[in-house]
Amino acid sequence: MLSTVIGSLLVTLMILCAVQAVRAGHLLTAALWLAGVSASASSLLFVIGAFEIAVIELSLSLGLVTVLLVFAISMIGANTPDNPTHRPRYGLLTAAFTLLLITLLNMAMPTENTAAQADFATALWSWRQFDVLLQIVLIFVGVLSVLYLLTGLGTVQQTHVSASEKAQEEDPIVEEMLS
Amino acid sequence: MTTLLFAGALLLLGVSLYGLLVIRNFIKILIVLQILVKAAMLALIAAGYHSGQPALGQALAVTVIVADTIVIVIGLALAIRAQHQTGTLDIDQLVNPEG
Repeated sequence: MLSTVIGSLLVTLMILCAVQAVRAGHLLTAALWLAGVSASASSLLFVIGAFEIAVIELSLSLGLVTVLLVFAISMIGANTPDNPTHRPRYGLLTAAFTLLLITLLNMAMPTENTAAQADFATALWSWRQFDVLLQIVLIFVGVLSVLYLLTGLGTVQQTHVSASEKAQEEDPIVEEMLS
Repeated sequence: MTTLLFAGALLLLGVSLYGLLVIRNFIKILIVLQILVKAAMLALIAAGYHSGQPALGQALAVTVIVADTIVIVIGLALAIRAQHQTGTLDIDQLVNPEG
């Protein structure tokens, strides 16, 4: 009973943080609300007994992703506002769709199954070992992609500037337009 | 408790779908994608508990979390690159720079 009450509060907190993350005008604020979503989600996972996932969610989503987001926003500039083009027309539609899905889910959900259970380590290392291999490959691909994308950022900007300067020097019309 | 998890996942799904429809900033779209993946992760764990195999749902959720982290790392690197090359993070301008 107590865990259900705490779980309901955590779900409510998680939804509120998610709404605020979507509504936030500035990127840094949105990143901090996302950290709130991650904290609520990991607390919820801890309450329902999924301790390993709670720790992984806490360390990766709340720790690493938040640090990476703040780092990227500080590199780009935190005062980059978001300019939504078509605002609340879809809000009511989305809310109605979600409520309909919840109602249908509650009606269609069968009784809980109590099949044979295994512990988390067995499930991860024995049943899902290809998933673990996929995760290792994904991490390597991610590291290589980031290295490829971020290598030579300064030279790209320098090349861009020098090309425009060169065009400005060569063509008096371009010089006039730029001035 | 399983119904509560499913309801939370569906509400998160609704919020993130609304955000994907409305938002035009590249980094904010990545933030909304994080919320979307959290909904998927909660649904997987709830499905595991509901089917009587919570460990299987948790093992799948680990894969989802790792893949999601890689997605946001590559997405942030792309955003930094796009900002340096085009000077904007607006999706419309990135897709169609002249219009």
